[in-house]
Amino acid sequence: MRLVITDLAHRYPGTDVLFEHLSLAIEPGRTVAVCGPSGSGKSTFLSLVAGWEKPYRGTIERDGISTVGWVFQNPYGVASRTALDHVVFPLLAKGFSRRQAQEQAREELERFDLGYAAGRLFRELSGGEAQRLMLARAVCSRPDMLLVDEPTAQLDTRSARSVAAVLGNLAGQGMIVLVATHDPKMRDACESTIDLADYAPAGIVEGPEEAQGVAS
Amino acid sequence: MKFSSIWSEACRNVASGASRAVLFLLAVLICALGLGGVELGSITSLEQQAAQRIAADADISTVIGGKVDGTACDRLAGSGPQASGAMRTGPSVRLLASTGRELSSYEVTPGMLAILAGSGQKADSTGVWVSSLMAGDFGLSRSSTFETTSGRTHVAGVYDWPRDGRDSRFAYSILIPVSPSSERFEECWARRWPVSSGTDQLLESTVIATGSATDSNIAISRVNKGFDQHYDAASSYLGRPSRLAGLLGLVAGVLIGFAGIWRRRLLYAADLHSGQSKADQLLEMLCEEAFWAWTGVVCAVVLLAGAAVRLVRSDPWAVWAASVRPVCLVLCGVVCAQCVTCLCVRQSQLFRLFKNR
Ligand SMILES: Nc1ncnc2c1ncn2[C@@H]1O[C@H](COP(=O)(O)OP(=O)(O)O)[C@@H](O)[C@H]1O
Ligand SMILES: [Mg+2]
Repeated sequence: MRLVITDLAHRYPGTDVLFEHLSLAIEPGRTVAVCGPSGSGKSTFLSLVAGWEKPYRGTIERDGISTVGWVFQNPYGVASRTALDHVVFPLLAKGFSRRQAQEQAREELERFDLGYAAGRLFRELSGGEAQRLMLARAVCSRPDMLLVDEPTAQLDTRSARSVAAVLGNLAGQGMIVLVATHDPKMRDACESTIDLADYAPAGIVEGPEEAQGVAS
Repeated sequence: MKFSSIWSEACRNVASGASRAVLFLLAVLICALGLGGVELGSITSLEQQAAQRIAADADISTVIGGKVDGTACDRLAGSGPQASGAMRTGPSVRLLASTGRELSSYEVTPGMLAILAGSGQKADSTGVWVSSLMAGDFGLSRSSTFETTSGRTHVAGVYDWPRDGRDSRFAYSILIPVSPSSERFEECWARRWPVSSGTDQLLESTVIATGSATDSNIAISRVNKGFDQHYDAASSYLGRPSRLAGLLGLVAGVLIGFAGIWRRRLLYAADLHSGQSKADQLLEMLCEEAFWAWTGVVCAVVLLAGAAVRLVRSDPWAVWAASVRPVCLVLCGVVCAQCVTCLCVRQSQLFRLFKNR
């Protein structure tokens, strides 16, 4: 399983180029932080990687990656159903019985410090709790590649640190994990970093010697 | 995904209020019941109109202005009209019981008695027939006798001839059966339900052509002129405004079904993203739908059956079946729209749906 990006550049029709000459290869076992200031194209980069947006230039090969999980910047869910139900669903979809699924889902909730909220309705969760719930749900569906967009934006410092730690460890389970963030704590928790600022178009941010590299 | 999981997810969505089952149930019930009710009401009133016409003999036509062949006239019954018979003015009759009062009489063919005989009554031509009004005045009934200046007369039948707009000549008179082949008659009557234009030609065919100018006086008239002459039960059924109820039901169903999925499209896309297959999602959706769409439709169908049994006199089940049509179309619209909308929600839209949320 391998994600290979070659000479990627992207711009939306009628806007400036967000980044260019971005080449790198990512293998499972490592959580990669995608950094950059707001508006630098982090979310766009993730959607290109997911294949939901066509690159302006360059190629993205998803070698052996068949399922992609997304965790959006803002949590969403069924207001009137419990936190546990949200996490159980991907396991039911995998064919587990509800009993087995609930057992696993509780473990996953514990991992994100949400064990106490399993029985609460989604609408009763705080922003941070809901965000962690989204992570637990995404992890439960065990995608080959997990894309997480600004996971700590909604979180206070303490839970941001624990989420960062959990995400940092996720890659150990054989997933490719990319986390878009501008939070230094999150960035520190990841083994490697892609800074989109390094790939900003020549002449706008940096000189002609553009950084070229494999995330390491 | 196990079916038990699909089913329990559907139940939890309904129980938690995520699928707004009560709201959608009410929407389906109101649409189905409203449209089915309009259809039921309008068919019932058409039916009553028809029943009223039949009761008032509005479906009897007559040919006037010529000389009629009584045998030909009697023979019309069976070749289209249900009953037919000829009549001509008879001698006035003086009852001994009534001091010198003259009563009008008409000579009629046996076929005419078949027109006048009510249901279950035999067209007995062994004696005279008197109108019920006259029978009341003189204390006559079937098989009683009365004396006239020309002898004893036997009553073979009493016929009803209410004053509801019909030809008043028979309202207070004595009808004397005669042989159809005797002389010529003045008018030929024929009952035909449902009304058919062919009847007019049949009636005209019983008139004996004289070759004189009087032939041009021949006209077709109605025995009861109090009703619309151009009444056509079939076309007024086909042209009833409530026939659009079916179409409206389909449209309402489509809108309801579409709304049910559309408001949750982000969550449907997210479920696909969580690994649910489209087939499982479709099944889960149909299970949820069973709670409100089918329940609503079953309630409407049962309520309409109750209304039909109470309101419709002749054939409640036929009218019920017609009124259930728009109800079925509501359901059809809901199911189709839900399936199509559900199939249109794809995982790849999640990003866009999320952004547009
Ligand atoms: N669909 C789109 N069409 C045009 N411009 C877009 C679209 N999506 C994002 N952008 C623009 O691209 C830039 C990068 O956006 P985004 O990837 O969301 O940045 P980040 O996630 O780093 O904050 C922004 O300037 C944004 O306005
Ligand atoms: Mg973003």
